[in-house]
Amino acid sequence: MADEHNSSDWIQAWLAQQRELLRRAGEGPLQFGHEMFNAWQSAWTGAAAAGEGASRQFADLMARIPTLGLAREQAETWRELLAAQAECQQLERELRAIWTKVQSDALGMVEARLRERQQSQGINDYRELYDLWVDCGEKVFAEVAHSEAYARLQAQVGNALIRLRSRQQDVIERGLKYFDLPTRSELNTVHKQMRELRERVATLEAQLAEARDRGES
Amino acid sequence: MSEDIPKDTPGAAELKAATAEFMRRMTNGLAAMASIRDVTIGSVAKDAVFEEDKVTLYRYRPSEVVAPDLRVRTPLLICYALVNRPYMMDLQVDRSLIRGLVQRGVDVYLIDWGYPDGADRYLGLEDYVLRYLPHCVDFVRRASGHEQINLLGVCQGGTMSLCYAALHPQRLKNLIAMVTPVDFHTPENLLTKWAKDVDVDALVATTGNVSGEMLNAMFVSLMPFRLNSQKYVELLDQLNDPNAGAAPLENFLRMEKWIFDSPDQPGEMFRQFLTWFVKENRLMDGSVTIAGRKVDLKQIAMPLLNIYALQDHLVPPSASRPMQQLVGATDYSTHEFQGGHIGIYVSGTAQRQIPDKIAGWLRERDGR
Repeated sequence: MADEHNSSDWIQAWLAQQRELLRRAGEGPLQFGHEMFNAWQSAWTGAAAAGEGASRQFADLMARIPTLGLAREQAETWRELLAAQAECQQLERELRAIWTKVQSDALGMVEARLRERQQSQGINDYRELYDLWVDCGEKVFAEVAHSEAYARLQAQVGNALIRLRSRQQDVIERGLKYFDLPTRSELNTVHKQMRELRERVATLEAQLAEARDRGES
Repeated sequence: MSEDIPKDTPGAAELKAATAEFMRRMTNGLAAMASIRDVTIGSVAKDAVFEEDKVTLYRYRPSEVVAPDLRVRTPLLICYALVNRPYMMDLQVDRSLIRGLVQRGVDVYLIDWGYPDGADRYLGLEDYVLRYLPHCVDFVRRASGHEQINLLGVCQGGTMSLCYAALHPQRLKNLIAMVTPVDFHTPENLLTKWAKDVDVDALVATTGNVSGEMLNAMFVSLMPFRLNSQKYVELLDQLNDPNAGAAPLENFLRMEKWIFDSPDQPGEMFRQFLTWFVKENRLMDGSVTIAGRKVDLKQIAMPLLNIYALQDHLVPPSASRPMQQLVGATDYSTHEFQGGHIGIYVSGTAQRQIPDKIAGWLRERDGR
């Protein structure tokens, strides 16, 4: 009976809590679930304070948790957008690192060429130095640009940007639908139909012209 | 730049002086640029003779000074690429392939594909090769009274012309391909290497048409140091040359306009072209099919002249040369031009050499 009594106490406490929440709701906007939000915010801040690695692990964990409930589709759309953004930033950093290395190697090549030239004609003016830098830059870049690894990374960046844009479009389409404004998807349907109709009209006109030529009109 | 190094560094004073001199030249250059008005483009009078959707067919007015017996009787239709604007064929008086042809008695027609917009995103190869191009060819045939006409395809327009010629060989008397790629997988082809892993289906699904700006950014990034920097520094030299006059700057601005006046590419056309021709290299194994019709290049039995540029970094000669093995033409000629993809239209050498070659080659085959 002691257990039953204790249970009854916490049930009563819960009912009192709900009554208090409803009383507060009458005074201002509902703050449903704000305790959970605060707890998550603390966890996020804690992860961020623990360093970039922990922060990323926490972000990865959040990204893997399936979205639930009435707003799950919207949450999913936003989460995919954020993931695409993070992917883009990462790949762009890698590409920028290669470009920086190209610049650095080009400068190294300029120095080597200058040493060679010192034994012969040397460099006479600023413009000549600039032209030498351009030549070296193009030479270094051409080697990098033709490599399999660079082509792959550049394509990965491009594909990631496409994914990001696609996710942005998803979010915008939701907004447009909400305001009953035309979306790109709807226009695409119309344009596809228009193209098919144009093709059919052209075919019919050609058949008509042939029939006229044969004197069948 | 010179502010970034300590004053007592050896050479710092010279570097500072050089920087100041550069800034002075830049200021002079900007003043000269401000004095230039909008440049005009085109030198030969032309008339729009046929229109369909956004496509316009122009006929250039023939030269009255060419004796009738020197004229090429069969009209020539130029099929330009979709990637840039066709006015490159007639940029200005001293940079004009079309002017050169007209002065040599060639009756020239030109297809202008216009500026496709969002409503054209589903236009594909079949629309261009089986509808617009045939309609232009048929118009020229009817207007001129010739059962067969001459067709000149440029770059991507050359690839489309090859497809058309294979599907409608009876309508063409002669075919000319200029800087036209057929083998997209040669080692020099940097664009193909870059395109290999691009998800073109997703690109087109996301962007609809493929923007001209995006393509320009890619072309410029093939030679980033020269095309983003050096060519503008060289412009400064011209702007600071008191004897240069306005012409060099006007020429530069005209080219600059052409380079960046790039129409968007209809999404489906871009997707098909990049996938079938560039990524899968289908012209080389004969597996191109347009709207269910197999493109058999062996059907191209009419005389064919293949013109390519030896320093072309966009369509390297190795991409054009295999054409001979692919087509059925027994009367096959080549012309190698010492220059690049753009120089073949605008360089001083090209002004004489290319129209001479084309008009002469056509004239030799005009009466046959």
